[in-house]
Amino acid sequence: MSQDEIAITGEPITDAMCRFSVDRPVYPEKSSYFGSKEQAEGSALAERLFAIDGVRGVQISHNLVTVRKAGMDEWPVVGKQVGAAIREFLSSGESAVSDKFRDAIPSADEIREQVQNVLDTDINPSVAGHGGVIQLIDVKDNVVYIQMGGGCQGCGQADVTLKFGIETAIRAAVDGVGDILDVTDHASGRNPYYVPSAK
Amino acid sequence: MPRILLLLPTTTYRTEAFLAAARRMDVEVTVGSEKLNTLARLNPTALLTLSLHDPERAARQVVDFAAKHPIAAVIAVDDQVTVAAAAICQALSLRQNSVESVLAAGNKYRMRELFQQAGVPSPGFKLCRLDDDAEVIAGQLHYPCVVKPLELSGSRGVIRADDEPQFVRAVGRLAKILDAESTKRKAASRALHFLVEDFIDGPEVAVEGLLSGGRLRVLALFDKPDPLDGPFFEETIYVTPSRLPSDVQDQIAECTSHAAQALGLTEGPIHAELRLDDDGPSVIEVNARSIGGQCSRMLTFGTGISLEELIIRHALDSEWEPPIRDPTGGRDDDSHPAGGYTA
Repeated sequence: MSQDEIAITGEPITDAMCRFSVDRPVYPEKSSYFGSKEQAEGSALAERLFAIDGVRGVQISHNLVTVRKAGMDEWPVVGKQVGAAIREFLSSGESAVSDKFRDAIPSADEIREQVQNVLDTDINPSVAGHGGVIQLIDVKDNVVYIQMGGGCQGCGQADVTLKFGIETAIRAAVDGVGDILDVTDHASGRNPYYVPSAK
Repeated sequence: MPRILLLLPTTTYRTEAFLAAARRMDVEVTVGSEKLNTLARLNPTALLTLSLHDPERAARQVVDFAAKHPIAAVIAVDDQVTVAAAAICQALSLRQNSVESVLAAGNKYRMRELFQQAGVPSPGFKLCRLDDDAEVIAGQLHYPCVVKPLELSGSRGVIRADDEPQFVRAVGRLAKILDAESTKRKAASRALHFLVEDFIDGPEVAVEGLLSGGRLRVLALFDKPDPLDGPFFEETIYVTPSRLPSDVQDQIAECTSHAAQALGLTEGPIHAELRLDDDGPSVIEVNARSIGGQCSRMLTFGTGISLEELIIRHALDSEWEPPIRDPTGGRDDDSHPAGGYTA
């Protein structure tokens, strides 16, 4: 297989996150998230991606590789390095994710149960004070999908609550959680507790 | 990893942009808001409740907090917290604008006085009392003029009057807006004064800039192609890069720099509005904050740095030279029509 023949397209999702679509599976029918260089040790693709300056998170899912980065370089610049790492990995014949890493991740069911417990005991009783509620929508592999409702939907503080309250509480209580993604349509919030100014 | 204190009023719509910028930069973030976040007890070093309406008290609260969690920079994201940010920085001995300068930038009358004293081109003005007889004041004015509250933002309450009856109606309307505002803020009394300014007939521009040690770097100059002739001055379209000739752009930059100096602003973002007529640029106002609305999404610098990231970087390191703005949005020749690119 010639490395040059492998087609990879990068589609930036945000300044900090880009999804790379590869024309063949890199981790067939499976998905894993790596939140640090240490977690990536021994996993051939993740280790190569974390060797790129500024990479802070990697999600590998079938033929998709999502990379989160810090730093100043723009995606087309970093993307060339990501593409080279993916091609090098594919030509190596190694497994994208090590058995050790896979075995250490709790199952989606275990994560779901523990996250729901955190929501029930720590988070929802508190946000209820502002008429809010946080629902667990799904757990896929170790990625957690939540939705903010009631007073939290469209609230001016929603992003603060998510990043500094919900994420912190979940990560402190549940091992092996990958990204925590908010799937709320905040623009449709009918009764946000703190109403952002109209500008 | 340095810690920044982001002063985020609970009603700001800029939370997401500033948090995304901070996350991208790998800095520790503490959010200071005027009201309690329901999850503050789960993460007390990240979620602070501060008396932002009482800057001296907010400064004392932050000094206590910073004794255990040192703060490298304080960033105010909206008009309403710039004074608190200045007071906090003063208490922590961090580089920032003085409290007096941001107070002046937040009061249109004080701003006009300082511009006049410093010889900054700006509209003629008169301070009036809301409880004075508007019909008597109307007889003393030149028309067209513009009625303005001293402290509201977003052009609220700014009304043009072309003659005496229009002026009287404009003052009545402004009084109702100020009454509603004092009710909303639960203030003990409404504002007593308002400003009347000469109307400058000409196109309006906006300057987004960054001050460092008193030196202004213009980050973007916006044309406002829709005529803003009143009677109301709601914001519409901003276009950048400006299509004005370079010598006019230079005059605008020089005038803005002069205005910032007159106010005593020396550090951080500023947003200025100017009008152009046959005599050149006149400064309508200078605010000690970055651009409002969603306009900052249009601006990227160097290799894709957002305006919010640039502001945080500057707050952490005054020596850092912001890169020039990328007018193309940063796409390169590998762009795919659908928005992706070859990796």
